[in-house]
Amino acid sequence: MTTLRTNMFLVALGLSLLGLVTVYSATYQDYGAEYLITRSIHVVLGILVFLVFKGVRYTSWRRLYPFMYLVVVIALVLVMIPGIGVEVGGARRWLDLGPMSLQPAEFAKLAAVLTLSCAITRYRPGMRFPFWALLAVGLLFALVVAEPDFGTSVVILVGVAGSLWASEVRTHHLLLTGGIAFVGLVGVMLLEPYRRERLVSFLDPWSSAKGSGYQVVQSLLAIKSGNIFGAGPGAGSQIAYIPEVRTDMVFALVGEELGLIGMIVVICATIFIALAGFKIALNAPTVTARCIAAGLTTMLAVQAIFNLGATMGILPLAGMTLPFVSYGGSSLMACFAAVGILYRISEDSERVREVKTRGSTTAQRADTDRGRRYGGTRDSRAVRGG
Amino acid sequence: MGNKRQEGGTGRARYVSSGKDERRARKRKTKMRASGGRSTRRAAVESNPCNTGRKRLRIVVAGVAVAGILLSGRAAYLSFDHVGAYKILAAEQSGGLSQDAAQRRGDILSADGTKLATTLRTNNVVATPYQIKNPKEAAKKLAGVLHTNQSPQEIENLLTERDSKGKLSGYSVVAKNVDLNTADKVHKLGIEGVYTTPGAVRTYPNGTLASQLVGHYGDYGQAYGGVESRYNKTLAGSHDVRLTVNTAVQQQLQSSLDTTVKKFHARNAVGVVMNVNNGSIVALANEPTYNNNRFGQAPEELQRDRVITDPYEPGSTFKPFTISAALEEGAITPKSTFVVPDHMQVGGNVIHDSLPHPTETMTPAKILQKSSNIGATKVARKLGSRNLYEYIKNFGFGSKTGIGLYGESTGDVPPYKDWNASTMGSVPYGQGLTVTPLQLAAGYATIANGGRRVTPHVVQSSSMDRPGHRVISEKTSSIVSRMLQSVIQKGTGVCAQIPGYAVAGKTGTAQVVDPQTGTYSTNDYVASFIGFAPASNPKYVTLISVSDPQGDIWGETVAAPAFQKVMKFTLEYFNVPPDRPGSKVNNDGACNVQ
Repeated sequence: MTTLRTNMFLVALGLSLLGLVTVYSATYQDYGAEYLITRSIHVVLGILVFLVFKGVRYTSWRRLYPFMYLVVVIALVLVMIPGIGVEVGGARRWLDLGPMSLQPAEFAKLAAVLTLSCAITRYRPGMRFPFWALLAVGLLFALVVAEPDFGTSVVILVGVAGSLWASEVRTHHLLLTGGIAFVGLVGVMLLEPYRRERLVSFLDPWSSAKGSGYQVVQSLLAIKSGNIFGAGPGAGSQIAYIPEVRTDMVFALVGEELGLIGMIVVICATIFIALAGFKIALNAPTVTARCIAAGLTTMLAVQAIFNLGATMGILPLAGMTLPFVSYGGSSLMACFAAVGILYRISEDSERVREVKTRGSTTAQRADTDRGRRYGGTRDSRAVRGG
Repeated sequence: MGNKRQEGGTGRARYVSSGKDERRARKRKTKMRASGGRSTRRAAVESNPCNTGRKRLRIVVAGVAVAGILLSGRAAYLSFDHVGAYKILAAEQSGGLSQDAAQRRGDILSADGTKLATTLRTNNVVATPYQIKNPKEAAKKLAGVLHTNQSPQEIENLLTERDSKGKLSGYSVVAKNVDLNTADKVHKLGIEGVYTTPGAVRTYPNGTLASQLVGHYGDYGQAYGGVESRYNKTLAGSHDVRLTVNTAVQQQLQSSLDTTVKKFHARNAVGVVMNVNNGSIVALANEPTYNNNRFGQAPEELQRDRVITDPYEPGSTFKPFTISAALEEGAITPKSTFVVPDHMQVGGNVIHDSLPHPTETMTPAKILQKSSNIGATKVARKLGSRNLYEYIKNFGFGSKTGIGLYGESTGDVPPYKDWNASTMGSVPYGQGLTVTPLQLAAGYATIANGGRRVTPHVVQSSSMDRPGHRVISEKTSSIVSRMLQSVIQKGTGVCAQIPGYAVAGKTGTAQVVDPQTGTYSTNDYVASFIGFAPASNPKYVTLISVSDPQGDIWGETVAAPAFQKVMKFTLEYFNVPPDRPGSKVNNDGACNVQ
């Protein structure tokens, strides 16, 4: 297990360094080293965030999540106030903090999963449906939709769904909620003409190669021109035509410069992180831990799958970044925070297992079980109440 | 084993106080497989209290793994699929038309049968450079049959095109849109690696004629604006679309607008000629215009059809609607008189007539002739704000006309709850609300045709020809029509007189809100003229509107002469019998001769 969680972190770090190279090669002609330096700072910050989150025992999130939730909600409200929130292209998503700007929506993803996971495990398993917890998360979702940031709001929903799915809430409740959420989401999607257009252009990008299908067509051309080995870092030529090449479309850049090999490496690395995260979730000592791990991992995985799929023209564009690779400080920090939390859960669950092998009577003394409401360990005698 | 039951068990798990050690010692798999039986279920649950989520999570894990495999497959497919690559490059380089070549797009025809937009079948000459054995000789042969002004050297360069890795590429376009004859000759040369592919090109034989109205069909199969975009499906289905537009009138309208824009160095001008009885549009023009065959080079602001997209404050041309409403409601009669001072206080603002004058007594007809803002305001006061608002809406302002073209604006009529005292000091004479030129023309058509709404339309359609609901009575219609005739005979509209015909119309010199300051600009005006003829039995309404003319700002001197020219041409072109034979122009030579 030690190697798995360490490997997960190392793979994430590797992807973020790959992102460093690709971002530099996309920008050095126009901006010189500017983006290289900023991105390096982001990676260092990301590692620091990882270390901080790795230092927080997962059980502490039960005490910490209300604070995190509050801070994120305040930040999301601040973003909407003109003068504080920075408006770019009709959306207010950034908080200007002098030397760098933050995107609170990225942290809302973490807050949503932590809040829901910690809150739902207060309920009796399989008994009630966690309306209040979902309402709290719904507020985060609504604030992010209002920015508007459709992509991130979908990621929040996905993370929440991942947590719920791993929890002990009854399956038919989940399917019902999922159905309602899906209908709502389709509604939001069809309401905005540009999103509707994106959906239609996804079905046939060639019919609007100059219009809304432009990004996808250019991205496909870039990937195809990369062939198997790619044109080499910094040699991409097609790429200049792709809008948002540093963020949402960074995978097309990988395809063109590093070819099929590079693409497969990125896909495998991403899937490896996802599978490692799920493994941690499956081995988690408590339902809370499992929910947190599953939620965060689902979020990373689905975000990556959607980004990759959209860039390769098999899924509609939703404006999601590729975790660890895309340019963007907030996104990178949020991803590393997720890896930090997963890392700690893995460590903690191993500690529980060690305690258990020493004898189940000592289980109650294990750090990891303090404050547990139910299902603390697999030892039924540790379960109170009833 | 019932999954649901297992869950139910799980749910109750924590209320079971203790379990038995030997049961716990069993392997999990055995328990999972165990079916039914209360004790077995409890056993499964106890040693494994929270398992539902874990089982469900495995489904997600499998899903993610499958997604990874699919994504890798897609990446590999994109890298290896050279047929697709060819298609993509072809689409990019030949402009995407080759895919649609099989089905020819329908034409857009004018009412007189002129092709305004048509599709020509062409051929593209393409090459696969790595298949060509002797590029030099092939280039020489091709240069002999292609009439594309390419030198043999240029052709040879295309035949030896290399990809990014320096290898001979698999696809290169040698010549685009060559005619069938040439393609045949290329075919007969029989050079290995040189092919012809069918193509098509959308052309606009009368490049600048009604270009905003026709719209454009782009290289990538995207329709931009106008009829091309609105009737894209019909056209794509190989059906022709026949317009109501007449080429000759359209040409006259464009040339008159062009002269006006040049003479007054105006920013732009728009014009509409419409049948007052059925709303069919005979001509619709924007100047300056652009050539549809060079759409890409045309500035975007010229591509817009301002007649439907750009609302403006109509100014004095709006006064006949106020008068019509007041007459229809019985608030005034043609004989009512109003004491009209030079200026007046309304809701905290002072409003003025356009030119200073001593206090006069005016009839409604005189108010229109002198184009008095104060007179129109006094009429509106008699009518009442609620009635005025209702009539404005009934005449079709503030909503789409039904022409159906994309990008149409509704204009901005302030909702009644936002009206205040100063609204009644601006709306009656056409300031403080915006309308599109098309709405205005349709409103005049209603006054002209005896009081019924029309649906403006550009595509021949019997259902759209039907007149709509009644707004004013035939009596009111004829009274206002007579008043508007007097504007032409002895009022501000003398420059619109046409020998042999009775003309009814109204001038307008509207102020424009400066977007920077939010107040009326002191040097930016819209000069306009709208009228219909023959006034005794109206057939056509014509609107001319000129933005920001220099040196002269007045509707009567800037727009009326162009109106006169276009209307005269239209009446004569359609052989409309004169309703006042032998009448002479009587304007003391005050008008610009166009």
